[in-house]
Amino acid sequence: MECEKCDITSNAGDHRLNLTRSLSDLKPETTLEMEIDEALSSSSADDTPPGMIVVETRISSWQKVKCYDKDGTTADAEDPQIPACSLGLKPNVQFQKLPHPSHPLVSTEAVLAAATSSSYSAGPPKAAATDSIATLRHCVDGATQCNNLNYESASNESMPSVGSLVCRICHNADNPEQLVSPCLCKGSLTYVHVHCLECWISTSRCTTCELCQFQYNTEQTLRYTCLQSLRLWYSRAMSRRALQEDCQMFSLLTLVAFGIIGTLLVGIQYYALHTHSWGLSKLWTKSWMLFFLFMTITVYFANIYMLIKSQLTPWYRWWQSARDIKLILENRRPFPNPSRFLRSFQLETVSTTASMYTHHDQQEAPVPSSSPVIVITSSEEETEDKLAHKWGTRLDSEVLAAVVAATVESIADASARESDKQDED
Amino acid sequence: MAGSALRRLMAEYKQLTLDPPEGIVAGPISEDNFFEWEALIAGPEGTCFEGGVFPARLIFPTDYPLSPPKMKFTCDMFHPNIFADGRVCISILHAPGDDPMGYELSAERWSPVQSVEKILLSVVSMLAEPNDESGANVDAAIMWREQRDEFNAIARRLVRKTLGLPA
Repeated sequence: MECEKCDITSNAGDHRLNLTRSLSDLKPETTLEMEIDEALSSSSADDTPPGMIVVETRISSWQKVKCYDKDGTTADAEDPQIPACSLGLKPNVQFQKLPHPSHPLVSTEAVLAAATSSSYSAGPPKAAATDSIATLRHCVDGATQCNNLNYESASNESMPSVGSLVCRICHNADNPEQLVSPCLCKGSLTYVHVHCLECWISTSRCTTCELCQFQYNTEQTLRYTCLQSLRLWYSRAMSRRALQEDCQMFSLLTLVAFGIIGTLLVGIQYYALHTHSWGLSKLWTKSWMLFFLFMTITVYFANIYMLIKSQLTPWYRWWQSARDIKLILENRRPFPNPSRFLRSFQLETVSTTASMYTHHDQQEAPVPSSSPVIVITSSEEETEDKLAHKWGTRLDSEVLAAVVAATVESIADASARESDKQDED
Repeated sequence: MAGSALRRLMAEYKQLTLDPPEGIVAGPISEDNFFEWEALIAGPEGTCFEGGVFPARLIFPTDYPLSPPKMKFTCDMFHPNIFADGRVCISILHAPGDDPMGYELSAERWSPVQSVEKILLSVVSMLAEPNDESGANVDAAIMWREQRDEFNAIARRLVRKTLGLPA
């Protein structure tokens, strides 16, 4: 009889609670807030632990229920006290650790209020675990998607960059360490071999880029000394033939000039002695002959000069144009592909974040509660540390680039290393 | 130097074979001599040379690409910028350096950046739009400027001649 009465009374209580919730949804929330406020005020006033206060409220509510019913169930009164204490401790601990999110507290209180018997005590932790696992999976999936997108973009961009690393003069991708970007040209005309460019400048004798009008900085040294160039020049058949012709012309001119000069000198002496036999005056005759002598000598030497000039001018031009060109690469860019460098940096950060999430997913099973917030903060700190480390490495690489730029030869090695690093990434 | 020129000519021939431009077919005459090429150029559409296929020959120097090749049409041509013997007078085929007559800028003349494909495309463009200011064939330049209809008639006659059709 007594046992049956006890069961009936407990069922009636559950029914009453359901009725109150169905009638008005706002009242339970207000009552919960009132309880929270009462707990806070009582704790601040009485200096007692909040756990005890909450336990007392539960006991008082159970006593009220007993007052409505008939007395005589002392054994039953002791049994619900023990689970009330065990249930009361957990929400207090959570409340202290996570004061800001009020919504989970409200849901937790509702779940605890709904669970009147010990059979529902295992429900809340399972629900919380499943929710956190779902959120973590969503984050991990998002990270993997971002990672895939980044890899796809990197693979797509790497193809044209590999194809564009071709010398614009010889259209060859051999000797990539010799490929430089000495002027302002971009796109498929960016790179050129140092040797090819030096040959082109030597041939065109123009030290500016014919496309972007950039003035190259070059050192020019003569390829041959004077005697070497003369020997090379006159080893050609054409030059030798021209020299022979000029020698013959010189001989002929010399004969004619000396003949004229001899005739004039004899004439001058003759007319000086025998001026009275003819009607011409002595002064006019002598002056005219002297003038003609002077003209002959002048024309002779002018012809000699022209012959020598026609011989030496072509040789001199060829000698001066035969120069060894050496480029001075002052305007060479330290990072040929800066976009690829930045992209690889982002890829590394994303991959580290994804690895952290996966690590957290493994840790989720043993400790379901109160761990997501802590792990998020720790992951943020680790990402910040790694970002700082990356920036530090970038600064170091810039310093290395500045040091390497001091010498022309090491610049090529640095470019080769950079290209190798980019290929590895 | 000849080895470098040979390698570049081989690369350009491969490029032209893989991705031929429209209306142009070019290649070496024989595999033993890569420095002499033969090209077939189709007359551009919408012009008086439309429908014609004009054979030409390109002779490359041993220091190519530092010096430009020489181009010569092997059929009869009547064009302001083509000499009577078929030699093509176009700015990018002129030796590098400043023009002594002052018509062309140094950027318009030969540069090792140019290639066979660009040369042939420039010739097609020249056929479509002649330059009558610096004429290689003075008669053709005057006729193109003053008697366009007669010039078009002569061009069509030459097109039929190259195709082997009766005039």
